[in-house]
Amino acid sequence: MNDLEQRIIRHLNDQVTSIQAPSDLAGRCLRRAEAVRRRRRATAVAGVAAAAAVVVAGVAVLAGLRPGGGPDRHTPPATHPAPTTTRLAPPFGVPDYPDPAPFQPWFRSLPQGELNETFVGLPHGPTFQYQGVTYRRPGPSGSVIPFGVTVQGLLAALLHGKPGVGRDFDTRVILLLPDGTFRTLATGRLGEATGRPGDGPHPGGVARVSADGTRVAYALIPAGSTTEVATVTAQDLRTGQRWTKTSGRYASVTGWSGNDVVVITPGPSSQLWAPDRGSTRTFGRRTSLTPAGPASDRLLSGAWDGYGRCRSVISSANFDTVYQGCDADEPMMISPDGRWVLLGAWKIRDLDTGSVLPFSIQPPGVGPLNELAPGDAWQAVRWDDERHMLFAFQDPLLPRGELGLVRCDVEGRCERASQP
Amino acid sequence: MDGADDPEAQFCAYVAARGTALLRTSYLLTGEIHLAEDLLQTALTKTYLAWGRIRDKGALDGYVRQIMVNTLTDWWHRRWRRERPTAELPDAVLPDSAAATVERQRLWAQLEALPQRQRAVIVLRYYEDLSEAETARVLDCSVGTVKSQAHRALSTLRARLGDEAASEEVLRDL
Repeated sequence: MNDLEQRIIRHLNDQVTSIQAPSDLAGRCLRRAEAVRRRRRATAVAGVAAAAAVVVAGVAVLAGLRPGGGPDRHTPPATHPAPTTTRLAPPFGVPDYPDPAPFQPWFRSLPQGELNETFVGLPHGPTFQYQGVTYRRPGPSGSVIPFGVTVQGLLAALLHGKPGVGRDFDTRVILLLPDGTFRTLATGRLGEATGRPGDGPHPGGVARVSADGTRVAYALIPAGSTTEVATVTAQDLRTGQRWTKTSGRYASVTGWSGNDVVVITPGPSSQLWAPDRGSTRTFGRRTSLTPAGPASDRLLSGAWDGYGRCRSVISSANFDTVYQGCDADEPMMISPDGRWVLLGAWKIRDLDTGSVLPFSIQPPGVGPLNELAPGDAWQAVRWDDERHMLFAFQDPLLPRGELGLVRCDVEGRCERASQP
Repeated sequence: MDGADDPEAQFCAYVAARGTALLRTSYLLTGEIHLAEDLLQTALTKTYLAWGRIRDKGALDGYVRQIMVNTLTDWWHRRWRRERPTAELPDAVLPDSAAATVERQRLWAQLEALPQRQRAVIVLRYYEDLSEAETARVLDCSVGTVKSQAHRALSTLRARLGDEAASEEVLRDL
């Protein structure tokens, strides 16, 4: 053993000499274990009910297969299990999502893969858990690619379909709807920089839904184009109205800021495109910008600045930096009205006054949240309204798919939003 | 019921005897005391839930360590899925007038900056004093992987702490 190893050993031992386990550690574990058992029992009961529902659904499918009565084009095919949609009680009753357009079984054109996993979604619009879709790349070690699990990507997803000739991929922009069905919004292709033939679907990334859930934006290179110049499209999901703009080579959409689309290109700038007004403003610094809420005039910036990785809140109006945080204090998500920002260190910053409020849903083991995992184990978070955030937890102690929702205000007052 | 046969009593006795040692390992794995307590609590709860299926109670430490490592890996994966950026330590060092403390923080910061898997290898090999084979079992990987991860971690530490001579000087005060 060399000197460095010996000194590491001494150092590690020095670090922990003062650490003692809490006296009630065993009691905490026992209480938590009991809570887990209660929830497992409850889940088992729910599972029986779900099995009954599957039987009913099976009967319905069989009825649909009778001669002359095949599944209509609005019905998901049997390869995609019917979605489990859990509507939560108020106060989550925001206006319903627009009615889905006719279902198109686009994934039948995929190469081999599996489409069968469940995800937790916290999209804007009605809160729900949905039967998501994944795609497993072909091959024994094929990685699973989920759709729609990123919070900011929300319902939009981008699909790299079957490989075409050369770089001419069959690319589709799809929209995952709250009832678990899909809508194909556009087809085209991407530049070679974003995928390889046969890569399969890619989630989020290029297609983004606005924070209020009424619009979607995406960038595609039109089929047949030889210039790699992308067309950026914004589409109103209620009326179907579309706005388009020709952007730079390999342009992509990273989000929305209010009614403006945030577009980045491999060039030296980011852009804010206002489809309604037909105007574009340019951010002079190369950065990736992420969306804020529909009424917000602020953006999150993922720029590298100085030491380490820092993120900023910048004003959409003039691109001035409003706040910059590094490491744990980095900004994570801005409230819909642009006033509050959730920081990585579990703090809330009031951008209007500059004050910082401590925020905590810890510790687990206390009060009504005692069955939750540690604060760092949340699966998804979004602003529920101007002053409340909604967190989805998946307890590591429980089988996959079980989750808890917690709604917290900016002052750290939290309550369970639903029971798993 | 005789306490010796009562799973709850057995579990409490085990936690009383080994809780501090396990928390220290958890702290070295996570680098943050509250997270360490959460990790250990999660691991012990899982252990208790599986208590009846664990035949070799003499191997409980290894079982709990394995759960801690796996759970921590899972947390890291979730962190990645949420698209939170991976930590890159700022160069700033906390101010401290005592040189030895500053240098200790420096080594600690470098240990924290190691990839999670390499850090686990260092903790298991040099703090828990596990053999390469035992470490491989906990991490569910090959002995060769343990060797290569340990080698990379030590090389990284050596490089980050400066050249060999500077490193010796830095560490001498620890």
